[in-house]
Amino acid sequence: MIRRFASPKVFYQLAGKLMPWCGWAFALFGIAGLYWGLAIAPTDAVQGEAYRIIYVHVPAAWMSMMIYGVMTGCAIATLVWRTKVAEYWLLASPVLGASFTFLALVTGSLWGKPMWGTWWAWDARLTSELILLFIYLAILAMKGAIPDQRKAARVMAMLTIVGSVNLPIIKFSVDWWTTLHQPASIFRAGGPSIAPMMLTALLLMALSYTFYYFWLVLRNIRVLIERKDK
Amino acid sequence: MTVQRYFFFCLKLLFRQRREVALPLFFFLMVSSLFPLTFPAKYLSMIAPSALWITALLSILLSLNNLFREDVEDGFLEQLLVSPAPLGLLVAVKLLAHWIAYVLPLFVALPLLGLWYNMPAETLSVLALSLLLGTPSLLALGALAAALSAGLKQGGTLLMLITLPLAIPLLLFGLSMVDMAVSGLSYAAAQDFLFAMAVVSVSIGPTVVAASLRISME
Repeated sequence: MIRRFASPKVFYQLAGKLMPWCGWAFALFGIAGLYWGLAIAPTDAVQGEAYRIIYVHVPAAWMSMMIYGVMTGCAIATLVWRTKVAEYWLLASPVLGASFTFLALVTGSLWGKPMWGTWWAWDARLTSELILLFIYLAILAMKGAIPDQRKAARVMAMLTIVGSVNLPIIKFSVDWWTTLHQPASIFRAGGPSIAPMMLTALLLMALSYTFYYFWLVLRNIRVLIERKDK
Repeated sequence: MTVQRYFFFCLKLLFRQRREVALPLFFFLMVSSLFPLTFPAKYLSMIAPSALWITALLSILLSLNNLFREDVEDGFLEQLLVSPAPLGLLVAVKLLAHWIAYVLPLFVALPLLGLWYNMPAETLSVLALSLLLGTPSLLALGALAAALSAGLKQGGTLLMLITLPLAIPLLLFGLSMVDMAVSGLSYAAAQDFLFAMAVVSVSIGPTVVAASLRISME
């Protein structure tokens, strides 16, 4: 079954069928999430209305890491089984990952100005997110430098895996500095500490972002397959 | 070619190119002289360890430009790929020779730089220790980048772009060693971490670099 979908021809058809679903899911969850976040969710007791940027910022930061995780899986499939679809997926992903990382950094910076009084601080989370952006950019630079697509995918796979080993180390090393960013409030022992109304809006936005990623990644893969067939 | 003979072959080759081999060392000395020239004297002791670590990092990355370039150009690398000796071992030996030719001279230059930066001998020796523990991992990371970008047009720039973000932990742990020593605390934690990374890099690094070479020579 997996083997069947791993063939580019079958996957091309499948992606074509899934794309509209992903696109509509992105739009619906996005509208619901934004309405919930901007109109229904209560105002934060400490941060006032400015906290609402959380609904754009936090899902973007999640996506930046989730996409790297997906890429690592594709990288292993590329190097070990030489799965063609995994190669395409790997080629199609880093530009989206870099965009989400950039979005997380920019919105975080906009949020930081009213809350911390500064656009940027060399705090652990900010720094490791910035380094993640650098790693995405290095992978993209490598992709651009190699004309042969299959070779590019394998080189990117190697880089992605080495980066995935290194990311926790980077996180750990920058965590040694005193940190300004608030601690995790959702994925933590004892359940989320965030108000349920806020959490709902946040999860809706996260779903919307995820479908947006799948929508674009499937589109990118279809373009790559079409270009290959010519 | 046996592994042992390849090692001496690498060393001999590097010795014959000693003019080229000296260039990253000159780069190291020149860039290191820029900081004492431009920073007010009272801040110099604060930035000295970072300045030297970053300069050493850049000079090592500069030296790695040559790591596989000639071997790719004259086709020697393809001979290595089909050689019966395990490629990982050959890479390990090549990196050892590279370390001796390019990294060891940096340590010889360190006392001079200690004078330039007016560094106490104890700080300088901890800095040297942190470089000694950090450079094997740095060389492994850089060699990986050099292998992946071998034969590409903008190989040198790509090598820097790939290695720098991945090398940040080495820089931070190396400098935290020196910071701890300066403030009179135990620097064992950072030292052990660097040592652990060096052990991992030396044991699996060459194999990963060899795999990368096979990918980029396909």
